[in-house]
Amino acid sequence: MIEVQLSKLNYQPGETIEGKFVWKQIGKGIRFDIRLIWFTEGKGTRDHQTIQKQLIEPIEVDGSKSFRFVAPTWPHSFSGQFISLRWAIEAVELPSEEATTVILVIAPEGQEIVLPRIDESAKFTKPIEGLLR
Amino acid sequence: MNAAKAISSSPAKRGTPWGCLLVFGLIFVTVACGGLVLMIGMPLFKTIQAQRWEERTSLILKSEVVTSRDDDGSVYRPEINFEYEYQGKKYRSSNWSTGFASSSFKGAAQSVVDRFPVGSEPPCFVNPNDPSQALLDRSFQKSNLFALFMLIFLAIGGGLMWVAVRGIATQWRQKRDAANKSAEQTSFVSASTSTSSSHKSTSRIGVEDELDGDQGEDDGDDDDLESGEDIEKYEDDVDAPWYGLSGPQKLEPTSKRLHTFLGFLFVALFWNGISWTIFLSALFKQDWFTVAFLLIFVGIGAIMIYAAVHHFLKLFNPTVSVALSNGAVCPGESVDLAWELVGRVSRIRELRVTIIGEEVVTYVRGTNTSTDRKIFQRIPVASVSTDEEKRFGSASITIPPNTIHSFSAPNNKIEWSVEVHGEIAWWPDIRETMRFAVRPAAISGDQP
Repeated sequence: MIEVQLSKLNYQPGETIEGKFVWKQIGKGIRFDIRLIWFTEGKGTRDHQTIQKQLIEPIEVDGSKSFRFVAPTWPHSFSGQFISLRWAIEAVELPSEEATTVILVIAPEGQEIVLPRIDESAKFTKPIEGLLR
Repeated sequence: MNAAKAISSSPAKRGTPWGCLLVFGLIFVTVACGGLVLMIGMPLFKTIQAQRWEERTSLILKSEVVTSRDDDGSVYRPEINFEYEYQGKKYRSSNWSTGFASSSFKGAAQSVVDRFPVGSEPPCFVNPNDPSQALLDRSFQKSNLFALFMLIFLAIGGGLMWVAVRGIATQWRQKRDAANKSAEQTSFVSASTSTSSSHKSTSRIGVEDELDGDQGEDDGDDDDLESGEDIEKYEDDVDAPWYGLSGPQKLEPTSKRLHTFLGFLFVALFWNGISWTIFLSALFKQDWFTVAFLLIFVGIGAIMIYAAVHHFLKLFNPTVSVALSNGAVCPGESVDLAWELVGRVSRIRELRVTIIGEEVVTYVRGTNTSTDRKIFQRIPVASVSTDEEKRFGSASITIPPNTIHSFSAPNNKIEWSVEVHGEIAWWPDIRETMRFAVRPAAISGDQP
C-alpha cells in the first residue's frame, strides 16, 4: 500500500509543496517516482507535462520519505467550458506505471480560476463612457 | 487518492506531423511534375526535334476511329497507319502526331480520320537519324495543353511542402531555443549543487536520466529532503506565449489577407478543376444521372469560388494596425491600445475594437481531427463611427484580475486577441484578429 500525504492542497505559485510518501508491505525491486505534473481535462485531447520528479527506491518493506517541490509560477489551475488544467502529485510505481494521484490547485490565492461563461449573442455593448481618449 | 495508470506516463499527443505533410506534398509535386513532363515536356521536345526532320510523301493505309469501353464510358482514338519511303527503303508507322491518342469526345478522333482518308498521300516527316520514326503532323497538339491542369496539383503540393518546411523550421528553432535555455539552466543548477552536495548528480533540469538517489540514507526512515536534492526538474517545453513580448508591441494579424485569399483560390481551383472536368465529360456524354449527382459538387465548387472572390475583395479594404503599450500584460493590469487604419475609412459604417479571451481545443473523433473555440472573455474597447476616430484612436483597457493567462499546449490553448471589426455596406467586412499575451501575475520579465 502506498500513500501520498500533503499538508494542504491549495498553493500559490512559488510556494513550497511539502509532503510525505508512505509505503507499506511493498515487494522487492519496486521503485517509486514522485512527480509534480499538470494535465488537462475536457473536450480537447489531453496534454500533460511532468515538471519535477523525485525517484525513491525503498529498501525496507515499510517506510516513508518526505518530498518537497516548489510550485511553478505557471500554468495556473483553471476551469473553463472546454478546458480544465489541473496540477497533481503522482506517486508512480515502477515499472508497472500504476499511480496514486493527489490533485492540487496552484494559482494565485491558491484558488482555481474559473472562466466565466459569456452570452455570445450579446457580442458588443457600448464601451464605458470616458474610456476613449 | 486513487490508483490508476499514471497520467504522466501516457503518450502525449504532439503537434502537427509536419514530416507527413512534407511527404504528402512531395507526392503531389512528383506526380504533377511527372505528368507535365510526360504530357507536355516530351511532346514539345519531339515537336521541336521534328522541325528538322525530312519531308516525304506517305500513303494512308488505315484510318478509322477505334472505340474502347470501360467503366467510365467510351474512349475514342484515331487509328492511322501509313507507309512511306526513305532512302529507297519502305517503312510503316502508326504515330501520326505527338498529341494524346485517346479522348472521351468522338468528334476529335473523327476529325483526324477525316483529315487522313485511306488512300490519300499526305506529306510525312521522317527522322533522318532513325527513319522508322515519322509523323504526319509535326505541330504541337493543343490537346496536350489539357495536361496543364497538373499545375493545380503542383501548386497544392508546393503549398503543402512550403507549409511543412515552415513548420519543421519553427519546430527546429523551438527545440534549439529550448536546448539553449536548458543548457543555461543546467549549468546554473550544476554549479549550485556541486558545492553543496556530495551526490554524483543530484539535481538537473531537462535531463531525464534516472537518478541513483541517496538510498544509503533512505533506509526506510522518514528522512527530510534538503532543498534541491535528487529532484529532477523538467525543462518546460510548453512555450511561454509571452516570451519576448514585454514592452510596446505592434500586433500581427493571425492570418494575412493575401495568404487567406490564395488559400481559398487554390482550394477553389482544385475542387472546381476536378468536379467541372468530370461534370462536362458527363454532360457531353449525356449521362444525366451522373450530371445530376455531380451538380452537388459543382454547387460546392460555386460556394468555394464565392469565398475566394469574397477574400479577393477583402484585399482592397483599409489595412489595420494595432499596437499595445505592453504585449505581455498581467491580469488586473491596464494597457494602452492604439489602432490605425489606412485606406478609404469613409466606407466603414462602424469600427469596433474588442479584446477576446478564448479556449481553443483540438480533439480527435474517429479519423477526424477538429478544433473548437469558446470565448470566455469579451471586453468592448471602442465603437467609433467618425472618419477621424476610425483612422486613429486609442483606449486604455484593464484585463480582469481573476482570469487565466495565455497558455499553449499541443491540444489545449488559451488565446488572447484584439479583434477589429469594420462594417462596410455591400462589401466584405474588415475582421482582423491579432494575438497578444496575458502573462501570469507572479512573473516578472519574460522568463517562465
